Amino acid sequence: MKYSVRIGLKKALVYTVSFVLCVTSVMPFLVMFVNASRENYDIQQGISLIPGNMLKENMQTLRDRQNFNVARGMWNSFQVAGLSTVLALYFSTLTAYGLVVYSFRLRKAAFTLIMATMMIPTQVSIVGFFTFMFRMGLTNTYWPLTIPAIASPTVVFFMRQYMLTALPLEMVEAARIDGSSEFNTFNRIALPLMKPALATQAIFIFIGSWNRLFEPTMLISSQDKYTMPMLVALLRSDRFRTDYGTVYLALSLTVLPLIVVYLLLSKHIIRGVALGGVKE
Amino acid sequence: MKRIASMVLAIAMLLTIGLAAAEAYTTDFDVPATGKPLVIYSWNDEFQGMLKNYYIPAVGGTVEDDGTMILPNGDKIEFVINPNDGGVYQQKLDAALSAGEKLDMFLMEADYALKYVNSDYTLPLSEIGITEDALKDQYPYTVDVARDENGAIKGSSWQAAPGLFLYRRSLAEKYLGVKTPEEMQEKVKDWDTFLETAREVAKASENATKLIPSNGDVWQVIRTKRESPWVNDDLELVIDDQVKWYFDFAKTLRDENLTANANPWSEAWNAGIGNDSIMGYFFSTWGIQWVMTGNCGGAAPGEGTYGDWAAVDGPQPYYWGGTWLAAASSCENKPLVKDIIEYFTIEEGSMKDYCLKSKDYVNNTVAIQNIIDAGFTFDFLGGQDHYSLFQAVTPLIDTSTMSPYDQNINMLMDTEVNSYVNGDKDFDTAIADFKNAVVDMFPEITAE
Amino acid sequence: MATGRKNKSVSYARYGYLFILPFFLVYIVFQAYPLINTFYLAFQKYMLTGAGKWVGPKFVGLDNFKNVLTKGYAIRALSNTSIMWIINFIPQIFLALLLAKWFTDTRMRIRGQGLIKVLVFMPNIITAASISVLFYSLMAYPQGPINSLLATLGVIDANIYANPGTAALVAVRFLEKGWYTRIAIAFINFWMWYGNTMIVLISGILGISPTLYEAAEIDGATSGQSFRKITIPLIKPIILYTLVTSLIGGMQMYDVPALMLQDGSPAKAMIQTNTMYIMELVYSGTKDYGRGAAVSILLFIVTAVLSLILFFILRDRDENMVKRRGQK
Repeated sequence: MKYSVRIGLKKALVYTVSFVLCVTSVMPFLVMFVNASRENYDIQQGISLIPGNMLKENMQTLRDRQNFNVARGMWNSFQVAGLSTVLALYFSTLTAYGLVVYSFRLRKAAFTLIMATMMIPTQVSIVGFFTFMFRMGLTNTYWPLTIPAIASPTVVFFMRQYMLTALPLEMVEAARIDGSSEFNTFNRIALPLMKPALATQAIFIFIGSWNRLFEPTMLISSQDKYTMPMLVALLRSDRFRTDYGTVYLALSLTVLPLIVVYLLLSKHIIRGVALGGVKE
Repeated sequence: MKRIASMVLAIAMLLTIGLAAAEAYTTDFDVPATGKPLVIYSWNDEFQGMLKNYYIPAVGGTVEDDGTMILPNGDKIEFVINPNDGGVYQQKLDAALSAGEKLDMFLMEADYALKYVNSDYTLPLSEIGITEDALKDQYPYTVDVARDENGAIKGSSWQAAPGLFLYRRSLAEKYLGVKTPEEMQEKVKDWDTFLETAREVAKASENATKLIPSNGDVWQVIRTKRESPWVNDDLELVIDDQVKWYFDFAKTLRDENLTANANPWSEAWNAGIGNDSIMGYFFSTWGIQWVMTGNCGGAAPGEGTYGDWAAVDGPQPYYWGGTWLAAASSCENKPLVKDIIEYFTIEEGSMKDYCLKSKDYVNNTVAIQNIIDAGFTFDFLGGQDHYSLFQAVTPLIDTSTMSPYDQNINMLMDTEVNSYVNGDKDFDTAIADFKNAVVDMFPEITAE
Repeated sequence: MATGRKNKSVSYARYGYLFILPFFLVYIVFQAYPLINTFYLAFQKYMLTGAGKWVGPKFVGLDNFKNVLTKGYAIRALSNTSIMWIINFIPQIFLALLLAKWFTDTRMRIRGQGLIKVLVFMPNIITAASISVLFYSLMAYPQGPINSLLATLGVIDANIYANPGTAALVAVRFLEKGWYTRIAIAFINFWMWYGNTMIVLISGILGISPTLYEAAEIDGATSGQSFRKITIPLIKPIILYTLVTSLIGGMQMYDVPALMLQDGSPAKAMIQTNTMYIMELVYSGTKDYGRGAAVSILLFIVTAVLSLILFFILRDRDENMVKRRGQK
């Protein structure tokens, strides 16, 4: 077979497979959105890609079920994810700065230690964490979900990598000569230089925190404090069994903001993934 | 004095005007304001609805657009609702209680009421001003359930929960040839006859209609016939003979395809009330007004299946569920909790008003008797007076098989029954796995 | 500059300690201490019984471990977690490698890669809970959308009340069958992560010097041979990285299987994962903090071993990179 024909066939195969995969990746969302606008009976009858006309009614029913407050859940998740992101970004950069700019005896040990902690997932200590928070009276608050973000080893790692290439030490020394305090140098000079890294990491930290289900389930007990994924888990319960349209509508509402944010920031996100995996 | 006067007035009004009274019931409200909201924990919005539709209007409070309830003295009522699936309500309630969360009142179901009654998380009713004597008109078994080891009463229920068998009149006539409830009772008077009838229905309808939704519906009934609760006083797991009987019965139902395979609380189970796929349901008092009327597809005779139902005693007397109101140990507003509990579980006037409008079965023997004597009929059941049936069943209720562990152990058993009925395991393996699962979940229990 | 720095590093060293202090402080309080606490609890009998009574803490040695490993479900949980991870990861790595190969093949020059990457990565940022509930609803019995679709296609009997004995096939109790549910869970994880893996692999491959490929092409190697003999060996660290991070994450699998678990489903024995078991021990029935901690420690040991492997992979690469910058 001619070489160009072979290549052509192969390309056709690749494009076909890619198309199928793209459809697979997108299909569940379509089903979700379409079902959000259909009537319960129709949904039971089968999967369809044709939107129905029950969107308004489904929205009405969902609103009347006062105990499923999508807006409240989103606001809760936003508080947790937002605070976690800010804390993680600031303190991780601070820690990385300390490791990069200053030479001190325990520097290598500290960094190795941080690397080591990166390996311990938080879930294994959840039992001890829970009983500890319980004794401190901090369960059912957002503090256990946000304060620990100050110690985010992976973010420190990433920031350090970036800093090693992006932050010239001369700049720090120049600032010292100009009379700037160390802390001031960090805030005014170093931090702004880190903007691209901060932006990329912010997205990952925020989305990661937003999507967490395990820790919030352990710690939060009142429904008005539920984060978004916890509310989603409620959609499986009995009171929704008579009207599936509302279930799909609620799911769509939880997923839509993420999709919108993603599509706006997709370039940054994908670049961040590529960098994270390779650490070039 | 004023309250008694208004009660007498209300009852007189009801008796003279008739049972379809749409008059608003009112009562005095003299609870001092505390400035703090009253926090109530529940697993669904039933009690919230009761407060909103009965208590608030009666005392002259208001309900905002977003559903917040405000009392005449300015205090608010807040609800924290954690659904019951997978035992989550109990988990969250435990978490809140042990963490010292602000919690004034919570609801407990029969399946786990004993756990809270015997704990320090519930206040004896005497501490909020309700004496045992005040509960004298309640059905005795509801009071006994709420009695803790020291004899203090820790909860009060607004309903009694005797159970009956509800069936579709038209379908019964079509497939079984029965024309009256008495004839139907003959067809379901014991479990063997019941099984035969199930076969008859499936055959006559060519599998289009089944007698009951699923084997899970049978468990609710049969569990009250056991000799021992799940866990005895020595914390040993007791697997009664009735349990083996149930496993076999469930398998027969599945093998012969005699049920609609609609597990309790599933979508098909809810939908079956409004279509022809299922002829009968086992329900206790709250089931009729809380589940059936909402799912029948109509609100008046002729619409959907409304009016086509009838009630009979069924194969055996039983009770199913029941909800008790408890004052939490961290309660900060005892007078208000007292007022609410009295409104729904003690005062005849308010309870009668609630009973007639909601068709629930209130926990007040006097009120119920009055209602029956005044000629009670329920158009949902084709004009039947099912309260008389309930009244007859209630004294037969035996709650000695209740344990604090019921909800969770029932769930674990359900898993094994499903495996067994699906054909995945044999009986001995299922029982062995069941014992293992129970002990894993409750290490303090032993199972030989 | 060197002499100047020497003086400065002596006087500024304390700032190094100061700047890294918040990290270590928070870590010790909120992560190290809980971990130590968990170790401690694993050897205690400490629970809140189903009847509301506190028991313990009382030292019981290895009893908790013995219990969860023999009569309890720790082994089963580990087995379930591992199996579901394998079903997810093996197809995932193969597909990701294949796609990465295709997309970096200079002879094929596939276009539209940007769009494809955007679409296949999207599942990764979606809340796992939402997708799980979606699938949970789709797989309902007897009249969930999938069962209805099968009925319309004639695969199963349209009469959902048909006798299972005589009819060809009846509506499938998806969520009650262990293997269906496992595959659904594995599929969801696969669907969420293959795009991510693909992108990581592509960046790795792009880092390989093109001269190697040119030399191979001159020598007459096919694209398959180039891939197998050049690409794979060079991106081995990346593949290992992906494998170990996926496994570590996989061991903590919670969201998807927890939400695919139907109340009373016999499939529970086949899909309960490590973290689900911990949650059950600590939250349901009797709240057993001792055994919950024991299972956590077992999970910790498994994860620690895997992490050490990853640690060594990363350290080598990091050392290489640091050397290149002369920072040591």
